[in-house]
Amino acid sequence: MKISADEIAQVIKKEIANFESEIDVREVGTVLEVGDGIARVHGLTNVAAGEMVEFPGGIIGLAFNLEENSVGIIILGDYLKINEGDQVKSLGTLLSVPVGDGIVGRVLDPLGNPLDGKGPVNSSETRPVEIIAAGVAERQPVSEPMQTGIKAVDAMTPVGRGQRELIIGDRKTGKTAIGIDAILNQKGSGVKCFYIAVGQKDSSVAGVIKELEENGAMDYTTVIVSGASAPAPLQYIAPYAGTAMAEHFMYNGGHCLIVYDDLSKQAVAYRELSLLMRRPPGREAYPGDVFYCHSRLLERSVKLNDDLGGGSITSFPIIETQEGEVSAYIPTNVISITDGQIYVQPDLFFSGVRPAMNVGISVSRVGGAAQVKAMKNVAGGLRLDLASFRALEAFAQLGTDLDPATQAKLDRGYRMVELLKQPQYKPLNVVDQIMVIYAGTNGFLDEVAIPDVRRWETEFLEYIHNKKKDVWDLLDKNKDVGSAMKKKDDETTKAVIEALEDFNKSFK
Amino acid sequence: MTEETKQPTVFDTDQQQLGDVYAKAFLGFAEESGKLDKLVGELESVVGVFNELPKFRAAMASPRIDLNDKNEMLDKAFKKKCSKEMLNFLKLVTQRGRFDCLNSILSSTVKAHDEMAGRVKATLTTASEVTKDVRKSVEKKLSKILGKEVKLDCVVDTEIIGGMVVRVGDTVYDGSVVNQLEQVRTRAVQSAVDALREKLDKFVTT
Repeated sequence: MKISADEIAQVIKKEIANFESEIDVREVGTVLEVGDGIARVHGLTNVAAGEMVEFPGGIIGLAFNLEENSVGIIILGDYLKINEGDQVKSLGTLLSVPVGDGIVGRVLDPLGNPLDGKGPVNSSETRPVEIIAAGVAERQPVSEPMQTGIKAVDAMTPVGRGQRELIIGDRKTGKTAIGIDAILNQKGSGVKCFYIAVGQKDSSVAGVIKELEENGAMDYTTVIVSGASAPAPLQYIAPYAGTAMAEHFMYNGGHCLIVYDDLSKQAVAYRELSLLMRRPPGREAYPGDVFYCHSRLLERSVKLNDDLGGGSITSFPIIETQEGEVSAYIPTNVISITDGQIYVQPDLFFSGVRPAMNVGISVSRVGGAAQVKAMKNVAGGLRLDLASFRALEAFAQLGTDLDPATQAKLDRGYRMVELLKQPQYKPLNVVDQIMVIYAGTNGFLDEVAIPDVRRWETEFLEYIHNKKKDVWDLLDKNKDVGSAMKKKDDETTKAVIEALEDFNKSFK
Repeated sequence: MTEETKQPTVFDTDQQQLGDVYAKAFLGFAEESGKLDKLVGELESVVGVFNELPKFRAAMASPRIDLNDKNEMLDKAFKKKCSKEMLNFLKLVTQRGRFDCLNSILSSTVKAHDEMAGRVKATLTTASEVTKDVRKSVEKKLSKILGKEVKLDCVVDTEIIGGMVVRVGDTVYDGSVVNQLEQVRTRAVQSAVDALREKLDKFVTT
């Protein structure tokens, strides 16, 4: 392959021939001081907040603070190349990023520049990074499920398309893994995924990208990276830029899933900027508008009404807590903004319960309406059962003799906990999930030894897929019928029970 | 301040702010006393004296010298050479310990005074020295466009190659050759990229 220089020369020649000189009118200012990703500029009298400005060398900045005598600019680029006395020019536009099919499968920085070495981003459309979210009239309630492929999540804290479900927990408890599994599970569903890494180690991001590639998820995923070495302004705008890219698909009727990993680091970047800009610090030294910083971002995850195409953005913001402290400033803020949270705990994680979701305090406020009917029927009482199991378990540790009914409840609980464990990068189809959870809650596992539960699950699913495909297809077809898996005399339920009994006869 | 800095405004925004306050007071007083133009001219020349004598200026700004001594020094230096009002103003500035802001006060005063008189300052940058006629005609044309009397400063900067750049306040009207070349470059690059994007096969020979 060779690019012909003549053709390009023709294009340029034509452009020069048709060039009409115009007087360039612009507004300018002068850099007073620069450092730490921000600049103070004298002049730029008519610049608007959030407007783009250009430094010499094409470095872009955003007007952030408008003061009486100077303008505070956040620099989205290499601030070391800017000097005192440089002329700054206002561009009269808002910051935009490239959008469209060209960005799918790419690894980009928050301005839309490629980081993956696969050449320039092939996209001619752009969208402003900061917009005001859709209003009430443009929305509709969450009604479609967003399957994460994680049994514990889909059964007990179901997420709907257009929902914001927070993933919160200490470091090293599998928060990112839940987000990545959810992305992997979107394969073939037409949902476009965005993984936005803010302030992460570049090595962890590289690991995530490799995992996405190996599992074939990069065909529908965009990764936006502003790592720990990126200046604070880029970390601050990364989530907004990623959301703008997703909005393009949403307003064209598509569905998107965004994982913000993580918003605590974005808040820290915003705090850094605000303090450098001398905005007054508030609680934990965060500026007063750090709540707005997150709320205006997460409000952009919506389910649009049918007139607007019915598109949606579902988001999984991630918050890292320190020593399980959920009552710190940023966690409480984001908990109050989102439509529920998945709470992951280190003690569960290290006792082998993975995903380490604490069922008792994890909730989903709107997803229940969107849950698959059959799953709702199967998992309806699961959460309460598990909660009462946890209470009993604590009691049983006292070593007292238990009556048979209590013992049976405990045995069932141990098996359910075992059943809800799931290896990483192995999302399960919702039909598979319904069958195994039905088996667990209805006593089909009572005869299986606890250490064998996970082997039972794999072998049962293999059996269903290979030998009882008709049962699987029947449940897949009827999963949204209200009576499916609810009453014992339902056609679907009967078929599943029969398959379970058949399999249990052969299981050793 | 290094020689490279071409910006004529004061860089210390805190001083600028103080300068604005004192300038407002000074102009208000000058207007009331009916000697507006005279006092502004006097301020210009007095500040000029201080700028020529940095040691004198430093002494006046120094907190280690007694206020009475400073007043005496001012009396000796200016009593017979400038008006009483001017002397009083200098004493006031000294008393308040704002002598270091004198240059800001001057620039703010001149700016506000120009504004009051409907005058505006503009900077004309050209690649080579302009003749008086050109200067006059630019001044005339600008005054017509802006609806204000224009005071033109001329600067020579060979880097712009040709044409002229006019700056009024924070607005720059750029008709320089260097800017036009830059515009041609960005447009040519953009159109080449667009053409490539549209029909990649046209440009590629295998």
